[in-house]
Amino acid sequence: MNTTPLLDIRALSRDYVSHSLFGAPHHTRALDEVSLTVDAGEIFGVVGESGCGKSTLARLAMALDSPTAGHVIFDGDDLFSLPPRELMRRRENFQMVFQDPFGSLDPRQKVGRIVAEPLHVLARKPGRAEIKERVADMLESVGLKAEHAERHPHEFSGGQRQRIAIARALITEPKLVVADEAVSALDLSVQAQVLNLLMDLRERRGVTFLFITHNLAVVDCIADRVGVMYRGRLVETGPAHAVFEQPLHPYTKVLADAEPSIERFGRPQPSESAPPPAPFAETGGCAFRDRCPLAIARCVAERPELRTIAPGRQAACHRAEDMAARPVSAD
Amino acid sequence: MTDTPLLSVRDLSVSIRLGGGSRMPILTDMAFDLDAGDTLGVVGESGSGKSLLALSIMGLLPGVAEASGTIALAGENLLDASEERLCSIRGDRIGMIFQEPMTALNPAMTIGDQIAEGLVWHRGLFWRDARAKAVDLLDQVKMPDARRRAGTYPHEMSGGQRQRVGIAIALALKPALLIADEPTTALDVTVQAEVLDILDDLAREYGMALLLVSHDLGVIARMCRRMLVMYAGRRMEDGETRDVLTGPRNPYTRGLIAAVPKRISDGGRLATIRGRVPGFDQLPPGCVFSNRCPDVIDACHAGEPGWTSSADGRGVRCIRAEEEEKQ
Repeated sequence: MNTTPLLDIRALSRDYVSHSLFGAPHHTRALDEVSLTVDAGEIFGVVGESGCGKSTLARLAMALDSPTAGHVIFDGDDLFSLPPRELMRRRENFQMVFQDPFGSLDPRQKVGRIVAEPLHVLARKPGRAEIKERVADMLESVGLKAEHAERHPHEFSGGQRQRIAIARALITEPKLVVADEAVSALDLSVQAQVLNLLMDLRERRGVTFLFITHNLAVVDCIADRVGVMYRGRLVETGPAHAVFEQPLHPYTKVLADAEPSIERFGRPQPSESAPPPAPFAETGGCAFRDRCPLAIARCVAERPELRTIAPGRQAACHRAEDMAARPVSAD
Repeated sequence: MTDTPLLSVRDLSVSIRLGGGSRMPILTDMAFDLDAGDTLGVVGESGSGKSLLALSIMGLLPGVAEASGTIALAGENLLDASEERLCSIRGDRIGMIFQEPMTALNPAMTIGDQIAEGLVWHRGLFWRDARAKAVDLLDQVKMPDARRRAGTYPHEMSGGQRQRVGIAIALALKPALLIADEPTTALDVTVQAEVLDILDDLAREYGMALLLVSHDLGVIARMCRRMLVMYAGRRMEDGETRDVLTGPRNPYTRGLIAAVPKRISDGGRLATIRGRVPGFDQLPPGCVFSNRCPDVIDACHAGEPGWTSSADGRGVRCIRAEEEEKQ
């Protein structure tokens, strides 16, 4: 991999400050020195549980929020050092699909206008006839019909709305699409249709996806590489298949074991289930140590940094080598 | 197997009254049995009527809905029962856990009091004793620091903790039947695993029958001995969970299982079910799944197939499965 990545996130941190009526303001580190790269044409999956910082990462990658520290380098430009007008120009190259297909579409606008909206930020704003044509093309390429442009969002089902949101994200022909839980609200049969659509769009148009979800099976299905997040930090990255087959971080294994599967009947063995989360102690060391079955004294004293364990695979764990030595699990 | 199952649903139909005196059928010809201590998973996509089924067993149907048929709890038809009688059954004999632990709890009442409430009303306990019992129940659902937690309010808790409170409320009266409607859908996977384990442990300990409504086939596989697949207000297939998931007989069940996201080889695609779940006012003639079914034949449009039970404890609604059965 000697080509420059399309998206290069470097040591990105974001603190949220909550002001209480009395007492000092409280800082919460939502994102803690996350670095990752996404190559052009790749689907990179980010998984983690609620509160792990994955949506904060999505918002920062889209320059919808400013980081406390770190850089987002998109296609060679550091997004946060660009002048605002320049940043706005760049926005045609990266777009976002949100989780809730009911909340993310303006109910008062016709689908045609919703889908065409990103075109208005283009440097060369296309004419009316061209907009109409591009909207029609785009609707067809996400599996809707050109005449749907004349309808309102409420006339569509959840899956169709998510297609509209995808059409809106793709109309400027962006290089990168960030999808934050884009299929989580959909029913199983419709979810599969939308996942296939995303894979088709990658193949046909070469779109790169940063795909954020809590669902491991979905990531295993569509992502080439995956990053696992825990409490604001990236704890493991690597090719999706390898990561789920042989996790190098104990948290990845806990996640994979907790995921219900239609091939596992009845309750899993007690050893597979996770110990309950302990209250978060803000003292150095590994944030996962209280839940970790492999924790040792070093995990309390020293915070593990993300390091390369095997070619293409990184983990932030002092015991990653022991994880690598484990036999591959049956499923 | 005892002679009378704990819960026996027969010919249950529920329809919604529309303006102009017309009615729209939602649930049609539902039937199943659930024995004491057994577990049944009800699976279906949104709009399949699975939540309405749960509500009709609880006697909590909205005013515009009308039910016919029988829902017999230990032989007593709940559809004929007075509201007063239902009030004494709800909570006491049937407990329910709702999907949204945020909205299902009273924000203005301590969680200890919410758990104790049922004990006071149904069992006639003094508040003092009921509150002490509530602390025990919080312990049983593995709430850390139960004694202090009993005096706190729902907003002070995480989603997983609220759902444990929901379980504690439902379990307080040791109901014979526990209905859980998507109890872990709003939770993270590791929290979901804990909550499911607690539910499983306690259902076993109390010998409760569990009716688990979920859209997640994996959750059903983990929790339920038997399962029932619903589509457009009909039952499409039932049987032992393992049998149904490993050898589905209805094309809809097959489609659902194939659509579960899984690792696929490069360039491959997930199997999908074409189209989308139709609204109850747009059902196709004949079999309700005929407009999306990959195996559809002419006969499917002619009339709705009946329910075929087979000797191995399985049932299916599909003309083609009927034919196979005859051969």
